[in-house]
Amino acid sequence: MIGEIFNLILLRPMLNVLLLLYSVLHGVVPYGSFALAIAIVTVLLRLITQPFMAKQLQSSKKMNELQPQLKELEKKYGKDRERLAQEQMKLYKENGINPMAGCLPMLLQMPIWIALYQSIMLLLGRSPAQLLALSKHVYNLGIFANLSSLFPLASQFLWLDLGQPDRLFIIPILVAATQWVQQKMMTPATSADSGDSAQAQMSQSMLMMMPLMFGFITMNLPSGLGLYFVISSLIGIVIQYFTTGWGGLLPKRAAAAAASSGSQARPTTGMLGAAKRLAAPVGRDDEPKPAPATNTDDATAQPAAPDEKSGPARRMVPEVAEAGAPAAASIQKGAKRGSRKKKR
Amino acid sequence: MGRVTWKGGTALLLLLMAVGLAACGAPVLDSGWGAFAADAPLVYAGVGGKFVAIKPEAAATPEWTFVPKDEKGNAGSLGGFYSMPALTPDLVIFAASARLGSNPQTEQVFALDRQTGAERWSFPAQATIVGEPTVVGDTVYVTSADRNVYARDLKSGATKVLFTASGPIWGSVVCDGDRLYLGSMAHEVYAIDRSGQQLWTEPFRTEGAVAGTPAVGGGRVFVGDLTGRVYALDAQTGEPVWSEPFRAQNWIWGQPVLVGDTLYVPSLDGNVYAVDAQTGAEKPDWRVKTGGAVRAAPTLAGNVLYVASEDQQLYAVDMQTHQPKWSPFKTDGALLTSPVIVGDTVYVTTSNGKVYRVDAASGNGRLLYPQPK
Repeated sequence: MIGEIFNLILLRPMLNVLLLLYSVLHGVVPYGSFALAIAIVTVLLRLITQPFMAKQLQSSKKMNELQPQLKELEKKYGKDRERLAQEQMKLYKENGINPMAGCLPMLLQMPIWIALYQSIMLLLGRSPAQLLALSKHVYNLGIFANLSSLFPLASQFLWLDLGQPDRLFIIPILVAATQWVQQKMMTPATSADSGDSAQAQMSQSMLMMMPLMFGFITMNLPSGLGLYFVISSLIGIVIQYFTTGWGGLLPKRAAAAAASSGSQARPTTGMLGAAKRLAAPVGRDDEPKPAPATNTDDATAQPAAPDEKSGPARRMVPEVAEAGAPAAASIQKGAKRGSRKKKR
Repeated sequence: MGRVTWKGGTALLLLLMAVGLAACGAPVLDSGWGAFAADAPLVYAGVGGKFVAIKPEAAATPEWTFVPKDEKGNAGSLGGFYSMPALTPDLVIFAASARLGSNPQTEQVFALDRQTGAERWSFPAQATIVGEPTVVGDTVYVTSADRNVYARDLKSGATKVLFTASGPIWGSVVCDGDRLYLGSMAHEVYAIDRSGQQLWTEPFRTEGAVAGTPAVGGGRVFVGDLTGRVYALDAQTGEPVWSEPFRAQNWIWGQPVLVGDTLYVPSLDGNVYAVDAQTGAEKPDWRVKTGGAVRAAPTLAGNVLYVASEDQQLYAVDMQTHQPKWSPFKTDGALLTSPVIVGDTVYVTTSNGKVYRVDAASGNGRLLYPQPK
């Protein structure tokens, strides 16, 4: 039932738009038109989903700003989970934050990307069973009436048969490289240098693992899908550049840019950011914490307020440090707010 | 404790993502949609990674089982059963994907001894074989998605590429005297002689890809394509005969069946249409409607047309009364290959690898293979 609804409202429209675009392009550029169609649809979808992404960033940023208070609550009510939950919800409410707001945009986007992925898989299918499955999704009305005449799609592009894995492994390498760059850019400039904590080490290993894993999987996938991954990552890189700058990829340049623009804190976003938030340790009182901003070149990064009563704020520093060096100022404010509250 | 949480969370996330992505696109050995042939006393079926011969009255244990073996005698597996086997008095000839150990999958044509299952010969193609082998006299013709028509002399064992089309060939060749007809996924229909020479000035261009096998009769060639169009061509010249093609609501993949002046056309829209072979007009008040795609050609036996549908049911329609002969016989898998009739029994195979036998008179049937343990 859910599958049929998904097919009806997402998969079929997506697949047929992709086909329609291919048919238009095929008349103009017969060579590589399916690759071009994938690129255009990916760009369009990225633009369409950009408001969701912006919302996600905004929500993530707000959440990060609240971390000092949350940590403080954790310390205060850590043993009473029920009370802790109540206090946390109260804090969210006071600040007008819905804790699920960061996940919701991501969840809303996911079906769209899954539909595009499945459309490409179906259209590039080479076996009779795949073609039979495709026949259930092709429209036969109006401007879509002649789409069936396009099969099998011309899938040659440069050295690739888009329906087959890339035997030269160039696409898998590009997938891994572009994803690494994107992930690296998502990592805030300050955390790039703070490689001494266990969390930072895990973060670094994940930074390597994810792109490698994608690259490895792409080795056996139709290269058209690999192409989609590459295009999607390239667009992600461009968006990331305009959102957070070079981030952890070029930390010095990012810090300098942030200093000159006086920009606000930018939280870690995307899959890696989500993973970090999910897996982030809570209340690790037993471990020494690195300084919040160790990058001496970072003009804006400042240590958290050395207020003796802002202990919890200092403990959360490794996590918020990942939210970007420029976040330090706002974090300090948050820590002070937390301290004042405590005093009251 | 915190460190454990972080590591555990990361590991779990990576694992979930790996599984998810692998499930999205990992290559698996395609099982095909089942292949079988029946001729007393044995039924031959390519199911479950192997090729077996079954005696209908003692189907629990196959008479013999065939899987390919490497030079050390290690057994491999079979898959990609898309085409029906062909039978000669001595041989059962079928096409499948074969995998031996960690070697790459290959596309092969096998000929086995009908009585013992011993391999007599085999030869490879360079891409999937979807069309069934066609035996004409002492020659077997095999088409492949590698664009070639292979011809093997059954006496001398010589195999040659008879003809190369401009696109993948998914249907079989159909023979009429010394002429062979076939279609290709490159939207073309060809007529060739038995030496591989083209007989028409140029191939006939169809609107869509031709995935099925043409039908021949009355000096005409009938062929369906993936836009749902059916064309009637002059067998001598390749010129279209109808003023315009017949159009179904979805793709046509199965071979049309010509009976007298009527062409029975299966379509993925779930219908079998009756079309006037002279004009291309649909005959009124006659249409077999099923609940799923009709991918394979219907089979005519006596006055009854048997239709296998993706809705997992076998339909039988009396051609004289145009009424169902019995209620559809229900199986538990999609029926994507043509029914086979031997005497008063109808055999069908499902895409999940099961063979059923159905009594042609009553419509009662049962699972023949594999037998539940």
